[in-house]
Amino acid sequence: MKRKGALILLVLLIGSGSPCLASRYDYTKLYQKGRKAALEGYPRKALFYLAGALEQRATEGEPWVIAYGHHRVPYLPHFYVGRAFFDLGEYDRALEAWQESLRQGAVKEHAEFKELRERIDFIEREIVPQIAGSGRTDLAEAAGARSKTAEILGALRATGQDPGDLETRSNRIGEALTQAEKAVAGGERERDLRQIEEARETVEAARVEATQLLREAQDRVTSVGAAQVDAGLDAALGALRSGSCERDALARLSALRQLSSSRPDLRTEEREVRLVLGLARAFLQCGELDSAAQHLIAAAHEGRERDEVARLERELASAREKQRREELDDFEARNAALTAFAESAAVIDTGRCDPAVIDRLQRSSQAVFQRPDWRQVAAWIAERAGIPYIPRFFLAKARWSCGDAEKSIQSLVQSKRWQETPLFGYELEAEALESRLREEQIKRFYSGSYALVLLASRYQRWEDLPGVEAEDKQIEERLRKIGFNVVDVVRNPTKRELERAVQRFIAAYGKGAGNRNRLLIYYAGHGDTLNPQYGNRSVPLGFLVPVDAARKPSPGEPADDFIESAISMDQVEGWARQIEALHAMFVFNSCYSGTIFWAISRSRGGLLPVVVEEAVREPVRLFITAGNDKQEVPDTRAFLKSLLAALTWEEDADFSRDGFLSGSELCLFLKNRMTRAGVAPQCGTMPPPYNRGDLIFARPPEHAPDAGSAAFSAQPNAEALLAELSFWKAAAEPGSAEGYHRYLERYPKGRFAGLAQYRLMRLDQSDAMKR
Amino acid sequence: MKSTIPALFLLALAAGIPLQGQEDASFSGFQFNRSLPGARSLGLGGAFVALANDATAAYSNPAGLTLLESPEVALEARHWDTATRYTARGDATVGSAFRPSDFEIESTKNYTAGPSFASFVYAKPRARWAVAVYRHLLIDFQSRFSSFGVRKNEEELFGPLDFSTDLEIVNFGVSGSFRINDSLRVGLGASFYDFQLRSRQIIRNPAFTLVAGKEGDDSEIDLNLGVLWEINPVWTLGAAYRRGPEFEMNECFPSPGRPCFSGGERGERPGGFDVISEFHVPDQLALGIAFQPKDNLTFLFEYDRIEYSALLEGNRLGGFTADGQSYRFLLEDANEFRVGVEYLIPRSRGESISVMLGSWYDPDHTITFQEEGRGESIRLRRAYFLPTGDDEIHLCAGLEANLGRYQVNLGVDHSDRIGTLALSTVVRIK
Repeated sequence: MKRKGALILLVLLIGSGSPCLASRYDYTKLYQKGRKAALEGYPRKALFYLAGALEQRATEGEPWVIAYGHHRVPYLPHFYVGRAFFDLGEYDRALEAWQESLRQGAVKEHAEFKELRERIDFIEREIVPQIAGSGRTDLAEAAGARSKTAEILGALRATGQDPGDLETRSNRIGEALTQAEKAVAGGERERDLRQIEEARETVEAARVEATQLLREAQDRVTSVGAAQVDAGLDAALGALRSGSCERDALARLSALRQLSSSRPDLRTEEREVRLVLGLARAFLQCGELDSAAQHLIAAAHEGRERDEVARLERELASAREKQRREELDDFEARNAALTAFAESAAVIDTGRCDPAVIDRLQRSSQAVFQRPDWRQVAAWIAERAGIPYIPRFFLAKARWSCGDAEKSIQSLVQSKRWQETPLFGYELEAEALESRLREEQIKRFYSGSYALVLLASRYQRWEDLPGVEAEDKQIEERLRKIGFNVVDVVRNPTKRELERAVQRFIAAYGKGAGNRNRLLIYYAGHGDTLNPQYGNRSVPLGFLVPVDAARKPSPGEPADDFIESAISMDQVEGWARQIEALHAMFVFNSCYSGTIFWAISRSRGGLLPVVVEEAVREPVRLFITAGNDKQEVPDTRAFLKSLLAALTWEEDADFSRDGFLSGSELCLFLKNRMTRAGVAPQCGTMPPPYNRGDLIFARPPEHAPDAGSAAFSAQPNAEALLAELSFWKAAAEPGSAEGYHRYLERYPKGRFAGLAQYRLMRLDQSDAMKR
Repeated sequence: MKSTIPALFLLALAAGIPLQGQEDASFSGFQFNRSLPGARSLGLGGAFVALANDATAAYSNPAGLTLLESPEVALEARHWDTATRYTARGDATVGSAFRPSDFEIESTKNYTAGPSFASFVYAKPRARWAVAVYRHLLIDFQSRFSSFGVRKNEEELFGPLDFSTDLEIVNFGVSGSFRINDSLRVGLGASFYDFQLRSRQIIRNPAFTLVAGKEGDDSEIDLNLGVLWEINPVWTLGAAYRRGPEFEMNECFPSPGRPCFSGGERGERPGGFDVISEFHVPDQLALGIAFQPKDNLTFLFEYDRIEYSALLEGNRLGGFTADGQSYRFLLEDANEFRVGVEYLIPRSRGESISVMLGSWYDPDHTITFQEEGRGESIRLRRAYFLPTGDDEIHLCAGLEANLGRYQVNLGVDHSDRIGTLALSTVVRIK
């Protein structure tokens, strides 16, 4: 008996850790256990159990599963898989799981959504740069080993040795590292951890091979003798006699110098002087004057080959003079580019549309972009003038001023991609511009936004609803304000009028393959619910009540008249199915309207977060009702007030803080707000595929954070700015110090002050050089 | 006077041995509330030690506290309905020995109701520990009855007797749980027990009235331990050991010139001697197993070992009769078996309705009388203390409405002798 008991216990113990048994448990238990393990900090266990749960059910949201006691929680296995991977530091897999959770959408309705967003944000903000940084460190290490190998291979080549396959292998490593470097940079930019991790794996393999290669190359170079070095030296010096920049000869000489350093047995005084003089000449011929001077000094120090040293010194002096002249030319070009930026920015800040300015700014920014040293100067000037060097932002602004939203969006996307940082007060302006462009981008996703408003207030057999009349005045105006074309407002519709209005609306705006319209049907009026019995089950059946509807039957009375004269929610659902437009939202501000249901869904690129972009690309039929199927909605129309306040962003319903109001967020807002007022708004979608997308409303610019005082508009001091620009041009035209001083005296902190200081500094340098 | 003495309820309390050959033991039943707190637990036949997953775990099995993911409050009120049987009168005929049929047994119902449990648990999802404070009413017993006495050959052996008992033991505790790993949790609790007892037996002889009784006002701190082992997703083992406190009480036996209690009733004849006795609440060891094939279906089994024998330790049951015969009382420890099943019917979102059914086997733990002589007084006692206890099956049921953060439970436990009704609520604090 005891043995039998022990056997049972053993089976149980094995069962607790055996993967093959995991799938034998019901998924609710596996989810319960996996979720608990994830929350308690046992991520591996969590993954084990959650994998078992997912095998059986991969759809999130339902059912709700007991967490502990009788506390039930929604079934969100992908979310907890992501959490477990996050705790294990496997951030790429965490992101993968969370993206699946977001794709399914149920998580957005629950408290876990906030955590998911925070963690994704954390990964993107902290982890991606950190892992990319580690990747670069690994890259540097691998590149270091390869660089040393390359030096040795150079020495082998310089001494006439055949590096054999070492060269090929070194090149292959070099290519792999280049690709990996690009992948790391791309992964960081795109916040793609998987790409970075794959690049790191490549780098690690390259590092191992580079280390092996270095060892083999070191073995080979030990066999090189003095005769081979001299032969190599002769060949390199011979090549230099051409008088042009011989990079190959320079590389050979450098490699021989390296070899000489590491092999004292190969070092003689004569060979050293020949090498140094050869290097000085090679550098000189390639324009690397400082390096040439450095080697000449070393050669002069040896006191040998004096004639050759003197000749080289003369050539060096001549080359320096030529270089100074080129530098001056470069300064002028740079100065012109930066001046073009400053002057263009001034014009753009006045709010004027000037295509010539856009063209000038674009050319100057391209010139600066190709020269990193110029960008440094631009930053220096910006710091002194209070005008940040953000040409793409100014291009976006200028294009917006000229009404070219599409190119403005492109410029702003480039500005963000190149990490331009609006400073010195341009931050708020940038925010406001971005808001406008986002709105524009949303508009571009929707080919049109159309609304049908149905208002029933004066009833023949039902109590009048004076509150609905009050809505009449605000609903149309407010819907227009948020970009909806209110194509029809039907007041006091009979059943026939209501049906025809909806069908006309759907036929006109809701039909056609690839229809990208956003439709809103708003109904305010009576609603009611009947509860017909089917066997021993009562199934609530909701109705919209047109003004000519029969009165509601009392309990026990036949309901035929009412059913025939009212509009059932089944009919509404049928309308929703007829619509081919991308997104449609039905808002029922009526009693007992919650018999139509709910769910939710969504989520790439440009100015839109991934979640938003996916949401707008997928279809949705969203229903919002003022109450549930058992609830009378007070006629105070608080529901409408809250709905409009959220849609017009007078109240902030953007829980995710991404600058977009989704249908899901709107529902959440209405629920929070109305529940306090004793009403329970209901939200829902039709079954798939009509729940994959979500309606998206962009934040209007006037509601951008702190944008009140910095609303995107022309600079209020446009005239003063133009006066300063004229004064600057007049003062700067002669190119004299006096003109710049005059400008600085008048505008010590003016927007061209940095440029004036920079030019004065260069004038001083020129004077000094001349002296 | 005779009583079936469910041992639990026995009375260490019970009886005095009046001097002057007056007859001794007077027993009365009282109910320990050894069942676990919470209407959910009651509905599950008390088989909760392997579940222990709400705020009542603070007392039931503190190891379960770390299962909670947020603070919780539990409140409970109970109503007990206890039947006490006693000997209303006895009358033997001339020349015959006492037989059980010579005694007339009656029963009195005692009702007690009030708040019985309150706890607050502080728990967080990632924390390896959780703590709780609680108040638990361990016993609240009141009993009053009168007996007409025992006569033989028209001679009164016991005079008419009035018996009253007021007993209350309240437990203020703090408990904590520590999660060792994802499967194993342990718990430890410390309880401060407050003991209040007042018992009186007024024996009215034609010639005099004697007042015997017991009084206690004591407190003690004791520990309880728990462990919970989730073997795999569907099987969980639980164990708890609750040590019963020991209290001191004064027992007084009347004796002429030796008053028991000052300020006795007018006309009573005070007297006797005081002794200090102990009242030891039985220790309890519980071993349970829970089987949950799905998250909403749970089967429970529990074995409890109750150390009833401790009740007889440290007090003065037994002794010598007036004619020099010795006797004593025995009480054995009990093995209880409990089963329960719980089924949750999901409603919308986090809401649900749950049904619980349970049963438990409550073995007879009546005091048995053992004599070492054959005199008439011994025969009288043997007849008087003839075992009348039975094993009992308790049937339990419970219903829960879970409204998300709030859950309200109703539980009932019924047996021939005791009925318990509990209403409790658990509130989850976000």
